[in-house]
Formats: sequence, structure tokens, C-alpha cells
Amino acid sequence: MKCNDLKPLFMDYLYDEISEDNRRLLLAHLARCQSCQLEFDGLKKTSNILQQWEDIDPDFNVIMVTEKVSWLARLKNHIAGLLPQPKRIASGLVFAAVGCFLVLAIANTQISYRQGEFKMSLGLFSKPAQQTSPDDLSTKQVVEKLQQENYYLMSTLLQQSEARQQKAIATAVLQLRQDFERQRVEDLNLVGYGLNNIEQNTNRQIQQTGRSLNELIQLINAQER
Amino acid sequence: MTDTQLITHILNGDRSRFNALVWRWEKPLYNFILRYLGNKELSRDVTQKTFIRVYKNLAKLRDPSKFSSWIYQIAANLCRDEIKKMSHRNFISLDLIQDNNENDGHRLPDELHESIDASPETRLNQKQIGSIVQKALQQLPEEQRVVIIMKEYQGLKFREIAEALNQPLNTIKSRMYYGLNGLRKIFEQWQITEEVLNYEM
Repeated sequence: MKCNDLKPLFMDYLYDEISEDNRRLLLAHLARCQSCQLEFDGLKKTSNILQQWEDIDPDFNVIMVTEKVSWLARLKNHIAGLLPQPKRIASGLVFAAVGCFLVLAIANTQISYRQGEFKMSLGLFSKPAQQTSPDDLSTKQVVEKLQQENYYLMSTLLQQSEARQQKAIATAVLQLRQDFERQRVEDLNLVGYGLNNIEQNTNRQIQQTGRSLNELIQLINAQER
Repeated sequence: MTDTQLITHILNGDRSRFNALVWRWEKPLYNFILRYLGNKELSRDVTQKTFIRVYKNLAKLRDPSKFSSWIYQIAANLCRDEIKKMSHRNFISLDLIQDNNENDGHRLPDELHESIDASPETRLNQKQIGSIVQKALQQLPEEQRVVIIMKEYQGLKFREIAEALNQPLNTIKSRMYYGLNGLRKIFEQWQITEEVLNYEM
């Protein structure tokens, strides 16, 4: 085999990435071919020279800052979440107004059929009937009853929405409490860790002082002798 | 914890673990960039840029086990950009000016020769060895230099270098071979041997 065919294996062999078959092939060639052996030795020495240049420690620290939300910011978010937004208030009012109108309109709608005459009027716009008759009386009662039901429905709705809001507040408060507790545990851990460090340092210093004192005593003893 | 495990944690949302990755890679990456560019200030910037790019693109890394090839790929690309920028700005380094004063950029600077001749029995310090090797590396074509640094100092396998530089395996090995042969000739010319460096032989 020619030298040039084997040179691609030099790098594999030098950096120990050669297959067993190729290693045998190359070693057999190097044993016979002095110029290849010389070249390979030169490459190995060059690599050794390169290896004498050691890594240095960077004189800076790369610190990647990840966003940490403080408990104060979290609190603000909680409160903001609880308070209705202006847009929400506006749309809520509009819906409430439309809802009230519809409910009142349906409740006050009067439909009557008398002497071949069919009458229908929306209660909101119709004026109260001027003539009172037994029929009108019963209609009045129905209207009152409907209004009562209406009132009852509205108050139930209000109560429920109030209850929902209270529940949301309770959850938020609970969440806050948990956050506070977590923060406290973290702080306590930090304090504990700091205290441990101080204790270790103090111990080390005491030991060092003890050792120096011993050495001093020995020195004095030796001098006295 | 391996790099792969760390990366899995980071990708699952634990971004704070990225600092662990930084601590682990800061030194090798900085030394790689420093040997590539030969300038401390610039290397510091490029190291920071590399980590920022890694952070932004970590989710795009398909195979976390190939992280080392990937991070060196990013660093090598950024180094190449810096070298391009320097040539556009007609950047002349102080080293080059010194060399020009000596009329021959391919010679070992006199002060290094003097330090070798003055005290043949004491070993050169790391700074002097660094200057000599750095100077020799700068004589090589960039494509050979980067392969040599990745192999000799970062200890990457040829396969990993091929992945990082996006080149065929045989191309990488042949660049290594020619680069090393080039350095061998430069060291011979400068009469630098292992014994001259005399470093804990």
C-alpha cells in the first residue's frame, strides 16, 4: 500500500479514533516506512506542544437573569384580577339594562281580547287602563304577581353573583396566604443556610487560632529549652 | 446531571436551570473563542453572545445529546462573523503592527526568542507558551485553525467537529492533517520543541 493511501489514517490513530483493522494496517506500514514514521512522530510532537497551552479561567461571569415575579407584583396582579375592568363594567351595565327592559316588558305585556277586538300592548309603554272592570282587576293581580316573581328572580340573581364574587376573593386570599408561607419558608431556609455558613467559618477560625496557639506554645517551649 | 437532562428540564419550563448550563460551559467556551479570535475583550463579548443565542434557540435543538456540537457551531459562527467584521473595518491588531515592524509576520517575535534563549533551563510560563502557540495558530488558514482548536483543546470527536462545522468527516480529518503539518513546520522554523517549552516533561 502506498504512503498517501495511509496518511488519512494518521489523524484517526493520533487521536485514538481508529478501528482495530486500520490500526494493524497502519502500524505494519509505519514499521516498514521510515519517512511515514518520522512524519507521524513530528505530528505527535506538534500535538504535544499544543497541549502545553492550558485553559485559563474567564475573568468574568456570564449570568443569565430569568424573570422573577416578586410577591408584591403577584399581589397587585391578584387585586387587579378581582377588580372589574372599566370595559367589563360598561358591558355589564348595558347587558343589565337590556335584560331589565326585556323582563319588565314581558312581565307587563298585556294581551286582551274583548268583543271581537284583539289588544296587545307592551306594559312599559302602555298607559294603565282608564276603565276599571272586574277583568282589569284580575289582570292587575296577575301583573303584581308577575312583578313579585320578577323581583324574586332578580334578587336571587344578585345573591348568586355576590356569592360567586366572595368565593373568588376567598380563593385569592388563600393563594396569597400560600405565597406568603412559601416566601417565609424560602427566607427561613436562606437564614438557616447563612447561619450554617457562619458556624462553619467560626469553627474553622477557632481551629486555626488553636493551631497557631499550639505552634506558638511549642515555639516558646523550644526557646526556653 | 448530564447536559441532556439539564436541557430537558429547561425545555420543560425550568428556565432557571440555564445558569447551571452556563456555569458548566463558560470556561471551555471562552477558551475556545479566545483561541479562535486571540483577543480577550472580543472573546468575552462573543461568549456572552453565544449564551444568549443558545438561550433563544434551545427549543430548536432537535437532539439534546448533540448539544456540544451545537454550542460550538454557534460559537464558531459568531467567531467567523467577528473575523468578517474585523476585515471589513480594516481592523489591524496591535500584534500585526508589531510583526510588521519586524518586517516578517512569520517570525517568532524577538522577545519570545529572548525569553527562550535567556533561560533555557527554566520553563516558560503559561503566558509565553500561549503567545507562541497562539501566534503559530494564527498563521494557519481559519478553516484548519478551528478544527485544530476543536480537536486539541475541546476534545471533540471528528464526527462532532463535522457536525459543528457542517462539513464531511473526511474534509475535517484532512484539514486537521494539513493544519497539524503546517504547525509542525512553523514550530520547526521557530525551533520550538517540547524540550524548549520544558513543561513538566
